[in-house]
Amino acid sequence: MGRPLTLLFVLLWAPRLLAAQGLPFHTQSALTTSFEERGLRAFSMIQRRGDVTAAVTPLVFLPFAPSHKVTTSVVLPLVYKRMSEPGGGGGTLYSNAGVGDVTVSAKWAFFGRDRLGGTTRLALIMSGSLPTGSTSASLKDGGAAPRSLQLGKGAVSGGATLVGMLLRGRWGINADVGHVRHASDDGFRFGSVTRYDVAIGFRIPDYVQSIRTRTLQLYLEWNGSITGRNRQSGSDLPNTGGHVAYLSPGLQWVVLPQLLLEGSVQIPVIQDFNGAQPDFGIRPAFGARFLFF
Amino acid sequence: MFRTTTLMVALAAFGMVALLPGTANAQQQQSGQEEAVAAVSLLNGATVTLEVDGMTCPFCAYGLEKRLRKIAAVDSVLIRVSDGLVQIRVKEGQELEDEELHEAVKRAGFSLREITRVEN
Repeated sequence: MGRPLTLLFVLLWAPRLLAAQGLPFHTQSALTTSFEERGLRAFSMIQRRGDVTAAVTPLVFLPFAPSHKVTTSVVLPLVYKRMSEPGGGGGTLYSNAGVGDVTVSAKWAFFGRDRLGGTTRLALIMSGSLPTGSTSASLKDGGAAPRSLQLGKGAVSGGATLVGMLLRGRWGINADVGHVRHASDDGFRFGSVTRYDVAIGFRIPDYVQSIRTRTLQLYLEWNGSITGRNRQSGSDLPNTGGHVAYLSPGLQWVVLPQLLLEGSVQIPVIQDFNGAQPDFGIRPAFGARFLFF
Repeated sequence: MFRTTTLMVALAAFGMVALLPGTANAQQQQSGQEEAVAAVSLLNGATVTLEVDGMTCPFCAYGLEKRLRKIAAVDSVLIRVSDGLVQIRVKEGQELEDEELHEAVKRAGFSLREITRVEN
């Protein structure tokens, strides 16, 4: 009981140090301003599901902005996956680490209306992934590891995401909805994914003096995804796909004008799977964003 | 049990923080803007004040400062995020063109509403 009370105390009072709205952790942003170009974002997420532990550290490079309305990004995911022996025996059946599938995307902010202390923006993100991650790893007994344990998906994929943002004074809402489809690899196809996210940002207090004010930002997100069944040789695989949604509180600390540290905890609140599948655990994430220009 | 407790704590914390009273409303913000513009006239040297819309956080506004500093005639830049103001001191003997300012603000992703100049 003491730990939740301590956490509550910190969450209530830490933002009073001074805070302003920031970028959500998991939800896309419709902004294409300075931090969206020539910057680097790195964060790690740790996921446990049944006997499988996965850690993904996407390195997000923001290399080029052709105009103030268009930015590009390259995501290089560093992936680690491990499967323990069933029943908590402590042994490892599978362990692998390396680069996953690289994703390239472009964001076009096609609508923007600014006002004093606020803005309304809409953007479209087009993305594509290349099969750069390994798909040939084996279990420790020599058998082929299942597709879900491989570092990559083995096929290209493409998607589109619509992003909206409404910031008014102390309040801000970011939302996105997107869809990704995968190509087939040797008769196997991962299920398509529809993702939806909403992030509510709140600025405390509502007056920020300058860009050098160290700020602590608090936000709350709802992150959901609906995944179709995987397919093998034209048939749906029964125990795959489903709907999962997380409630994700998080915070960001702007340490320097060009350096931001952030952390989030994703708490699964909806887990509606097809067939028999293990539940997801709580998913912590932490990282940093750095501007270099 | 821990997951339920964590979820309840997260919701309660966010809700209670959201209900904490604010310190400024629109009237106070407008008053702050007027004071900031008036304060510019007390500075030595030519100064230019920009009224910029769309600035919502310090991290967002940092790129605007970087772009303005690249303009040769700019000596110093002060951005007041909540007031939507950018105060620029111009180097002595140099001119700061409106077009340069419009371009810098546009490239930073914001909207320039008004330029106010106070000569030395």
